[in-house]
Amino acid sequence: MKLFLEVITEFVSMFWADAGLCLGALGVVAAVGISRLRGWFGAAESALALSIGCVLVLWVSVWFAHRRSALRSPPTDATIAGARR
Amino acid sequence: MLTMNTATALPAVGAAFAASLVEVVEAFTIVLAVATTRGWRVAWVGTLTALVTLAAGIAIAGPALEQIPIHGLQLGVGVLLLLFGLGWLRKASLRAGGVIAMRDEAALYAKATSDMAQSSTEPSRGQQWLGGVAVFKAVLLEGLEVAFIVIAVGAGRGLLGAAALGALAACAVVLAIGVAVHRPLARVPENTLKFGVGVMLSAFGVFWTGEGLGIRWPGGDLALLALAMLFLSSGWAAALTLRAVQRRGAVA
Repeated sequence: MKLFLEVITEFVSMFWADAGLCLGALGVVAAVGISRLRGWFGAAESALALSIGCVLVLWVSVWFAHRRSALRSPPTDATIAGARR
Repeated sequence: MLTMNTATALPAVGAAFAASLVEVVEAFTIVLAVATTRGWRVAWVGTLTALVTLAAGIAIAGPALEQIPIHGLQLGVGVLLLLFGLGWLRKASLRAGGVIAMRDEAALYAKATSDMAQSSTEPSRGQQWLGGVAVFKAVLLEGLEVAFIVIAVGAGRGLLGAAALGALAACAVVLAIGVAVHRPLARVPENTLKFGVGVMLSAFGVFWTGEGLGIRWPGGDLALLALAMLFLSSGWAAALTLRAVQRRGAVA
């Protein structure tokens, strides 16, 4: 049983690692769904909003991952200068 | 009754095949590492136990899927595919853009075997059992991903059997090559596959989420190709932008 729990935890943690991306995508789906239910968006607008929304979520997530990695490992010159100081 | 259409059937089978190829290659690395350090018997027992567990889970959960209304099923699998697909595309773009390191099966295999070899030169029965547990976990985890992808790709359009065949074909290919060469399959272009699968899963995800929300796609099933082009160009653009930014950062 413990083994199964470990496997399930690892499986869920895959999504947790990309929590921002998952929440963003779910947000886009929810927003389009609500807009569609309320009649604010027609079929074409919903299709466009869903597609573009998901692409934007992807880009934002990629950009944040890049920013995080840049913060974790500053450029080599700065590291060397910091070490000299 | 839903009909099988070449425009959706071929990408579905292709996506299931490619996604399964990536996952099976990852699981095979662990199986091989355990087999060479702890023996093939333990590795086989771990693998077969995981596969039987997985099959039992699918046999129990599979019929339940048929009870779900089609729009609810499409929305559910669409969102699941979106989460998988965007996650894969994000990781592949970050790797292609040089932000995170490429996955190296040979290095992972070397690390796994050295970790196990360090613990003891003559493994006891308990250590052999631990090797089997590691194989069981790896195969079950990767198999769970394959099962989710197969269900997500196939369930929305009655393509479950076709998608499962794609996944089985991937298992057969990896096993056949792996048994022949007895080495981790480091030459499989993992990131390119991941990029392609991320594009397909994201396209299917948006398409079926839309259908689940009651959206009628312009062009019908052909909208899938347009969506695939959109995600392909977006992923590429992201990777190219990251490369340019990384290069500028290195020069500055």
